Amino acid sequence: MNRPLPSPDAPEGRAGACDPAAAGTVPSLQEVLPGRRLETPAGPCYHVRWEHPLCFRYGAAPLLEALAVSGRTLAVLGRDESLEEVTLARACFIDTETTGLAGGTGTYVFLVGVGWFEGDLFVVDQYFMEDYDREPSLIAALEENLRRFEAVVSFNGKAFDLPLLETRFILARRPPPLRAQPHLDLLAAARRLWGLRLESCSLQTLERAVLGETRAGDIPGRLVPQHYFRYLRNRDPRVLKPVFEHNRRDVLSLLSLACRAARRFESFLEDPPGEDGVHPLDLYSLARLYRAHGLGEAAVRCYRACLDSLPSGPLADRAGLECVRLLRRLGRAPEAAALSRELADARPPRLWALVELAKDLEHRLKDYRGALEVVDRAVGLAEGLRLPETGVTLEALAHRRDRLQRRLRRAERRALRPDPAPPESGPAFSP
Amino acid sequence: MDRAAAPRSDGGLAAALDDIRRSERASCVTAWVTLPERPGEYADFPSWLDPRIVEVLRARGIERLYRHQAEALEAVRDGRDVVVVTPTASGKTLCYNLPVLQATVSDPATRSLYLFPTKALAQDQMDEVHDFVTALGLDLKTFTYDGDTPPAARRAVRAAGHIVVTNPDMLHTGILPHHTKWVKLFENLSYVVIDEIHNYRGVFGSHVANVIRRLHRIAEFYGSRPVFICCSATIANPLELASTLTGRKMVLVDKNGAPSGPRHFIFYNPPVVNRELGIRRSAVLEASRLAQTFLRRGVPTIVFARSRVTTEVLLSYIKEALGEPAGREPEGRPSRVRGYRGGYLPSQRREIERGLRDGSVQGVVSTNALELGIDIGTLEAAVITGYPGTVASTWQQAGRVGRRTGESAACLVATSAPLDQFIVTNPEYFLGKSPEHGLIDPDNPQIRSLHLKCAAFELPFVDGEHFGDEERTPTSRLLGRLEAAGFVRHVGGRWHWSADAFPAESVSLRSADADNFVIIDTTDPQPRVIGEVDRFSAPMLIHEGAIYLHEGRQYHVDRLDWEEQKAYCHEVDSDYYTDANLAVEVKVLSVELGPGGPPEDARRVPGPARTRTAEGGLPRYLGEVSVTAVPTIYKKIKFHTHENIGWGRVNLPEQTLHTEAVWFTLPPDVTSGLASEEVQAGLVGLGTLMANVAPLFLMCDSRDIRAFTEVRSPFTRLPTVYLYDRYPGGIGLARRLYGLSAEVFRAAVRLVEACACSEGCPSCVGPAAEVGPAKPATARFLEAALREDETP
Repeated sequence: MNRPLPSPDAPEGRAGACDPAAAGTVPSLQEVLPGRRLETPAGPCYHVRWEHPLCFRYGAAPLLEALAVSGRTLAVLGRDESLEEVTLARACFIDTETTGLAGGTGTYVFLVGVGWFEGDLFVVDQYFMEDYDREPSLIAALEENLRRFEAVVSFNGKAFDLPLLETRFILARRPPPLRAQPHLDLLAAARRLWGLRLESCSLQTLERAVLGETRAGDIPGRLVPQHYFRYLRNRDPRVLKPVFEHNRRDVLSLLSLACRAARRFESFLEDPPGEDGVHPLDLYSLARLYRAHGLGEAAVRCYRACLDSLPSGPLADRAGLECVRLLRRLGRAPEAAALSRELADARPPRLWALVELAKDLEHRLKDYRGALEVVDRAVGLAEGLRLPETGVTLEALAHRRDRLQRRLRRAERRALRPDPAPPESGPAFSP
Repeated sequence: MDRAAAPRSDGGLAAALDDIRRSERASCVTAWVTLPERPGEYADFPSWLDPRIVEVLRARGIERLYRHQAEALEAVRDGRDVVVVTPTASGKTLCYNLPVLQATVSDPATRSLYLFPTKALAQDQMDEVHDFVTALGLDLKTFTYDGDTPPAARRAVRAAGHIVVTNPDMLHTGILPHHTKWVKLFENLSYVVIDEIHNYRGVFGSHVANVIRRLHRIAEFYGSRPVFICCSATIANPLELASTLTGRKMVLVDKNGAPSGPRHFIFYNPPVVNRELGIRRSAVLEASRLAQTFLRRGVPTIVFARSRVTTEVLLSYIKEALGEPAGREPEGRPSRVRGYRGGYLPSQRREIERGLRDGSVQGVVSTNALELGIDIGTLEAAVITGYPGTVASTWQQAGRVGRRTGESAACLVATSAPLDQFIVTNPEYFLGKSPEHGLIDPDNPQIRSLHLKCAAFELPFVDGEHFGDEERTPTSRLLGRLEAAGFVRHVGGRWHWSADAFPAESVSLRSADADNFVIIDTTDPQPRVIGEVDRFSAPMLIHEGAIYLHEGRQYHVDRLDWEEQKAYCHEVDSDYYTDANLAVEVKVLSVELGPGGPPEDARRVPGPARTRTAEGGLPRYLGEVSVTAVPTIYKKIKFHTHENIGWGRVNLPEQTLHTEAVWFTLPPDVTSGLASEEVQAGLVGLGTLMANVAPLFLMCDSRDIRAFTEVRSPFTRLPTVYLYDRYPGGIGLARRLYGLSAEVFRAAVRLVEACACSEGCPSCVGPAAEVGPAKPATARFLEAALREDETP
């Protein structure tokens, strides 16, 4: 694997005097995690920089792909209009490591990873709190360095990372950062795109199932606080190495996941679609996402792709029904009827499709006789079924049949009358 | 002032009182005191009071303030911390609402925090403030913030609430550990109102005092220094309690200026049915009779019972006697008599409160849940079943009836318990100056260090910062212990929270709320939750085989899942209820004070415990003990006759408690000439007496202190009576008792002398049938304790 090298930033001399462990066989922080202490008004803050060339691949696509993602796509993924003006070139990708998951004022942020594009590099800056009394310098370094970004990308940052940073800043009596900037939280986007298929939407699961990355030697997030506490006690920075690596990979995953989500979203906007071999559940998820954002054509394409890739079953029924209703809403009743007929004729025939077909024939195409035939078929099918499909009852069918029969009779009578009143318009009115 | 007080029963009360005077039970009345009508003492509105506020008051028919209200207003205006002590219905809410509203009207940035002991009370008071604010026509936001506040609304409360109404538990887990979300509140916090502070005593109060300490730290961090306004029912030491609770020097306002109508206070002792055994008719049956007397005359009546079980039993008796439908009422015919207690669901409670206000509910049987200031409109008669345990509580319950004008009556029906018998035969004791002390010990080592953790989580401690009593244990030493245990880290002159944990979540302010067991009715195919009980009561109330009573219905507990904290039951129609026993064992861990003076390694003892009596009397010790309790059997007791008709085993895990105890030994000369059974009986009698009388002096619940006796203690090698605090680490009850023992012995003697029984009865040393004839031996022990005590 093409591993990036740490930046050539020279470590500033030997381990600092505040590092008591340096005396023994324990290596210094710089030796384990080469970096330097940034000077801030509140004292030094330990800083590690990783630089990745844009051709570097993490999760199937090169990092530079992110620069092509449109603001429109970001706005849909984040369900936030203010993201429309955003380009990822000027956003920061942020992930924090903390002393606990409970939140509240006693949970400290001890490591903040900030990814951003600089020239032809993707940089991951890590700001580290060497001990609790160094928190002011961590805050000062973040305050100085976060303010230039125009947007934030995170994973669950709206509920976790940013509120926690906000708490730390308020405790330091400093104005919290990144409050005004548009924020793309990829957790919500990932849930909508892949949530149906995956058993969980944790970043680790997404990496494995969506990005195709596996982390060797990674530590689970829940052990991170223990590693930090151990470091504070014995000052052996080796326990921090996996934590820093975990954090850096999280930031890279953010970028990669943002690209992947954008590509997935954009793929069916085109005809033919930009992706194939997509899992039916993901197609269904995507169709719903399009539909929710008023992208009807793309949604229909997606539903159809979903139906094409599926044998009949509950998911196909759901996709089919939604697609028929969407077509109808788009004013494409004949297509809706054709799709219903197609699904109704499938093996085994689908009762709901017959009902939908009857609706289109009756209400939109005004083909009462055709509708009645379909309803008769539906009744026959419903009677033959042990368990009627959800939402369709014999009573409802009987009711529909009665109404159709009345309409037919009325239409026949009208046809016999010499001067038929126009249907639906009521009696003519003259002064 | 509050609501107009028109009598609702049209002379029914006078008729009912006549019924009592004329009945064959008139001789059961040991005292009938009529407190005369009292005129009000008034003061004009202060000139600085905003005219808009004055206008709203006038619109409500308030032309002047009561004197105590005006005094409180002036003191608060001077920036002093105030404790207001006046009876129920004396308009004390204006004592805090007016200063708070005045300040908020003149500066809308002003923020205030109201604390009430229960959610229901918070809701009730919120409504009252809200009404006032609406009448003012100003955009002042008042919100309740508790476990029921929907997450979506919380942001608005945090950002915009001028007055946030909450309870100590929510302050403890929901607000303080998240104080950065409450910046607006804490930066501008001007007033903290703590109502009903007499509730914050014992363990609960000791916890709350520590929560307030934490509140001080947070307020200071944001640069505010709120004024504290406390209100209390009548207790002996309101200043001391309020000061210990808030850590502030307080000004006392206790001259009640509110008028009141004539009030009857009737002390009622049920008739003796067996003289030798000293058995009286059940207080529950007598209370039910009295309640019927009032209800038949159409008098709106509240009946107080001491426990949930008694509430249910009483409810079913009264309903039955009045021909009301049992259990839940059928559609369209709501019962006029309802129950009200802790296990009911909140919606059920609100409905009953409304019914009481609008008159559709005429009678209510309640635990002390309704003792607090929940608005239930104007009732005229109160029947108190059994002495509620404290003078303050009794006045609170009696105060639920009668407002400004018109007659009202309260009947205290004594049970056979010694404390009840003491009160009913010494009414002058009750009517005299309240001797009760609201005791709290915020520096209980366990409680203090639990909150020290929470405080360190909230803000790092700075070197030299104090949290609690430095003389007892320096804060730095406690922090050092926390560091050794891996909870905090000392660096750069500060102690930072350094653990992956949220300490407030594992600290419950009251044993009752934290760890509830739910009771699930499986009678119908669709099981439903019908109530809940706290962990401590679970072994007694919902063990397998127990009959659990709820809304007058009976449920048989089929299975208790201890791990899952669930009890499964089905409805039954049984003619008995159940009562469980606990087997207890006490071991001495260390002695702090003994008859030879403090052992060499003794720690400092604060307060009265220092004053040792002479070398005579019964040798007396104070120290740490471990108490093991395991439920053993339960008895089946028949309704109405209350006879024991069977028993069953309870198989539940034992619970261990490390706490403080005071114990007394009987030297050989005191027991010489007595058979060991006599010593045994006398000892049990002494323990029973002491445990029953002590709460009178300690203002604690009678469940907070327990007695245990041993004829030959492995530790003292003598007959020994232990009295221990029923809370880990102790909350100072045993400690206080060590100093008060002479007074407690004296009260015990009076009780034994006043009791007409010959060998012992449930009203003094305990029933002779169970422990043998205890009375003579007990009397001898008491005499020994006092004689030598007074002649050093």
